[in-house]
Amino acid sequence: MFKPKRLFLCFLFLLCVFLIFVFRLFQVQLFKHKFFVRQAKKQYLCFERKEPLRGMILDRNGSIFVLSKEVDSCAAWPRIIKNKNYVLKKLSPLLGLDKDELKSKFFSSRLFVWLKRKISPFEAEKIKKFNLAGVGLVKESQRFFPEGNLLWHILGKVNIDNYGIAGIELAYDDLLRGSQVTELKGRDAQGRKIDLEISLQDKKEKKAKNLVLTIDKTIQHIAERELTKVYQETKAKKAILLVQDVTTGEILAWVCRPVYSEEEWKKNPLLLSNPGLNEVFEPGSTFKVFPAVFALEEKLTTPEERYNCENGLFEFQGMKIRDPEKRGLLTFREVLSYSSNIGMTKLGLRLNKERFNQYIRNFGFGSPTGIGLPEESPGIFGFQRSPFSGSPVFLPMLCFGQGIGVTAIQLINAYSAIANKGLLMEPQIVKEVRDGKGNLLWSSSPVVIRRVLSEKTARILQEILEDAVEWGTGTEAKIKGYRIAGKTGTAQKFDLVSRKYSQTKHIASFCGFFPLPNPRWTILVIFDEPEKLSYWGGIVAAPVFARVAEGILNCYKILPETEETKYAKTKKSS
Amino acid sequence: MKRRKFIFYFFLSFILLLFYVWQQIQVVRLGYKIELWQKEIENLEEKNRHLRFRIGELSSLKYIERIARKKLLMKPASSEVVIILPEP
Repeated sequence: MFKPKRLFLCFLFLLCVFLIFVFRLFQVQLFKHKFFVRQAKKQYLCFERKEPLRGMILDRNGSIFVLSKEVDSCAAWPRIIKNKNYVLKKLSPLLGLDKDELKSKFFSSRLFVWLKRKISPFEAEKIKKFNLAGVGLVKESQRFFPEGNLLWHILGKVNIDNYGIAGIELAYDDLLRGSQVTELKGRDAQGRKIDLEISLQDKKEKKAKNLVLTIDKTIQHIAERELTKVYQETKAKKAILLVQDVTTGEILAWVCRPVYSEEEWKKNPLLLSNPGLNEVFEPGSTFKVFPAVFALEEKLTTPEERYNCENGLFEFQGMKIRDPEKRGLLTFREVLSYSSNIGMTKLGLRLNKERFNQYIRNFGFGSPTGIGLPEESPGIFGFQRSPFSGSPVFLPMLCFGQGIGVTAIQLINAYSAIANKGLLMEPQIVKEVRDGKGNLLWSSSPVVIRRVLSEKTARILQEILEDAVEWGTGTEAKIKGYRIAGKTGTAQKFDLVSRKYSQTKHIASFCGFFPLPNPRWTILVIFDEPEKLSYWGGIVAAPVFARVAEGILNCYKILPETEETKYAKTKKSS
Repeated sequence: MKRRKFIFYFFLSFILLLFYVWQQIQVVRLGYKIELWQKEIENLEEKNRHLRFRIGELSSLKYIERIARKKLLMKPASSEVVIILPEP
C-alpha cells in the first residue's frame, strides 16, 4: 500500500526536477537567447572570400597577351603543426627555403603564415603527397604570358598581391582588378559548405574587365624580330621601335630593348620603365622637319630656295658646324634630303624665337601626349630649360635637333601629323574595354588634338621626305614598288660630366611614313649608342624601317607599284 | 462531431508541419548541390583558362616561326609578288 506521505514526497521531488527543467529552458531560450544564437551562427555560418581573377589583356584581334590562372601557394598553420622539426626537415629542401627562415615562421605566434607563394605544380604535388598536418596549399592567381616577352615594356607587371606596378597593369589596375566577393555560406558538422544564396559584396561591386589594346600581334612580332636582330648586331645600349596608324593615332607596335629577367627587375624595379615613354633624347636630324614646317608655313623659305652649305664646314659664333658631306649650293629640298646642318643653321637665323617656340609646342613637344600610360615624360623643351637657351647658337642648334629633349612617342606622333595632312592625333594604346563574357563596355575613337600645319605644307613636306629616301640620306629605307617618305637622324649625345657633346656616343634614328601618296603608317626606329656596324641613322635604323614596313605591307596585302603589277591590273580589269 | 473536427485539424497541422520540415531539408540538400555545381563551374572555368593559355602559346608567332623554319624548312616571304592572270 502506498502511504500518502511518501507519494506526496515523490510528487514534490518530480515537481522540483520539472521546475529546474523549466527554469533552464527559460534561461536558454529567453535570457541567454542571443548568446546561443551567436554560438550557433559561429558554428554554422562561414564567410567565403573570393579574389576575382584579374582581367585579360588582348591584342586588337583578340589574341591573348596576358591572362590569370590559379596556382598553389604553400601556407602553414603553426599552432596545428605537432612535430615542427620533422616538418621543417621535409619542407626546406622541397621549397628551396632556408631552414632558419622556415623555423621563424613555424615557431611564430601567428595563426597563419605563408611559406612560399605561387609555387610550381611539381612542388605543389610533393606537398600534397607529404600530407603534413598544419601545412597545406591555398589557391592564388598568377599572371601568365602565352606570347612570352612580346610587348614586355607596355604590358607591365603585377606584384605578389596582383596589384599593377608598371605599364598597362598599373595604368588600368582599377579596371583589370575588380573587387573582392564575400559570400555567406553554411557549414555542416563535417565541414562541407552549403550555399545560402547570400552575398555580401558592396553595392558598388565591380567585376574584372578585359582590355583590348590597339597593338597588332603580327606587326609587333615583325617589329620585335627585326629590331632585336640589329640591336644585337650593333651592341647598342638601347633600341626602340614604334608603329602608329596615321589617321587614328593607334599604336600598332611598341618594342624596346633590352628586356629584363624577373630576378633583374625584382632587384631593380626602375628597369620596368618604358624608354619610349619616359626617356628623353636629342633627336638630331629627324627634328629638322619641324623648323622646315615652320619656315614653309610662315613663307620664310621655299623648297627651291638655295642655301650655301659652305663645303661642309661653317663657323658660327665660335661654334664649328659640320655637314656629313661637303656640298656647296643646295636647294632647301636638298638641304633636308641630304640633311645639311649648315643649311638648317642658316634657316634657323631667320626664325622668330617666340613663334617657333609655340609652333613646336603645337606639335606636342614639351608636354605629355596623353596616351594614358604611367610616368610619361613631357620632354625637355623650353627656352628656359635647355642648357644652351641663352646662347645665340641655340635656335640654329635646335634646327638640327640638338638642345631639345623629346620622347619617342612625341616624335612619332608629330611625324604622323605630317603624314595625316596636318592633323595631330592623340596617340592611343587601349582600343576597347570588355566584360568577362566579351561584351563591349567601352571603345576608343580617334581624337584630333589640333591642326598643326596646312594640307599644302604637309604635301610639300611629304614630297621632300620622299626625296630624302629616294636619293638623300635615307636610301636604305627604300622598298621596291612603294613610295616611302622619311628622315634619318644621327645625334651626338650630350655628356653631363664634361658638359660637351660626345664624339663617340650617338643616337641613330629613322622616322618615316608610307605608302605615299596616302600614308597609313608611321614607323620610328632609334638605336642608343650603337657600337658595331655604324652609328649613322641611315645605315643602322633605316634598313630596320624598311624590313618592318615591308612586313606590314605584306600583312595588309598592299601590292607594289611595279610594271608587272600595273600590267596585271590592266589585264584583270579587261 | 467536435472530436472528429479536432482529429481532422490535428492531422492537417501535422501534415503541414511535415511539409515545412521537408522543405527545410530540401533547401539544405539543394544548398549542397549548388555548392558542388559552383565548384564544378569554377573547375571548368579554370580548365578553360588553361586551354586558352595553351591556344595562345601554340598560336604565338614566335612558336609558329620556329616550327616553320626548323620543321617545315620554310623561309620568310620575299617581296616578290605573283599574280595569276585569268585565262584568255
